Amino acid sequence: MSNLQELLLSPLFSLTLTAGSYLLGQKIYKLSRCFPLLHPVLMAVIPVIVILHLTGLDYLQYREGTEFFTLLLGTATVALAVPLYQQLHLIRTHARALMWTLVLGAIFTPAVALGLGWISGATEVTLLSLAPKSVTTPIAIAVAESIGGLATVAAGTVICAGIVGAVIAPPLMSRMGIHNPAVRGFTMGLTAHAAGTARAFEISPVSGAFASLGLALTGALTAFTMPLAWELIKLF
Amino acid sequence: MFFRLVEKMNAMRGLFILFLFQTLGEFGNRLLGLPLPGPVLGMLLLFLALCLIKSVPDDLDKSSQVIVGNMAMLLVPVATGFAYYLVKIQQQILPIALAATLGTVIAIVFTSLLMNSLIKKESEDE
Repeated sequence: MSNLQELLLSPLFSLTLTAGSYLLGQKIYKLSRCFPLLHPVLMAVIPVIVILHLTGLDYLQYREGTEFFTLLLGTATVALAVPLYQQLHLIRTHARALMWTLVLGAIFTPAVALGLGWISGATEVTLLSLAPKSVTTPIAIAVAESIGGLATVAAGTVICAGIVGAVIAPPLMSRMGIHNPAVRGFTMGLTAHAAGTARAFEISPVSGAFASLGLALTGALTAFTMPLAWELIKLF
Repeated sequence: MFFRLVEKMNAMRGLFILFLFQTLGEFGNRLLGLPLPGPVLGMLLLFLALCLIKSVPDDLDKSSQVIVGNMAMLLVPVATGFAYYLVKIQQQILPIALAATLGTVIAIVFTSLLMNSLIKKESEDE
């Protein structure tokens, strides 16, 4: 019995559980023809929770067992330098419009999230976790943790924001009469990161490329400015 | 002999480059005491390196695609934690849900309108 307990507590069990649940989540997502609300990560959480419940493992033990994946999430962040470099040439097409949209969008989006959180009674920890909500998840986690937010809340909010953006952005922008694929793509990358980018690629390759650019630039800009801005705010 | 071995294992070489820059990032974060997270610093250093060599090595390109493409799996543990957190601290569900839904919709409207009008202005100026 204690041997079995030892296996449950080993990283091997947690990592296998995670990978298996993710594959299952991906299968459900593909069977639903990539319906954004059935995001593979959300679907994967269900079997993980069920199995943790059945085995009596608690979340902290599971989190400790998956430490290796957390480390690889950092590696994925580093790897984002590659698409950033590859999409950079697109900037030349609408340099000024893109730069202004990037800077103002990257300030406005967290400001709205903070404002909405503030009026609906968010605690300081929640606010700090909400701030990086529109940037790609590994960067959001790193930023949230460095300013004192919670990785779990940041990641969850980012994933949900991505899903909302992927579902709503295309019909919303059509209704607003915005048909330029560069604008549609960049907006989806800036506001809905990876989920939005995947959706933009489904619509058109041009939109997808601009979405990747939006995702990479917003992530990079937020990663550098938000921790520094928070240091400055704390001074006052 | 050694180089031939390295050439064959090119996926590992790409991964090595990523790990190296991640380590450099953590090193810089601890050594310089910058408020920037280690992986973010690693990303900047790798980006600067790519700008210097002006191309992306094939191995690195492949490894990056694999790890970025499967990033979602790495998020399952934190997403699970999010579910537990929401159950435990229910009074924070409203602000989180508002920021993720309404906040995102407002951001989409603002961003798309802004960029659309900037591009229109750009083409009128020309």
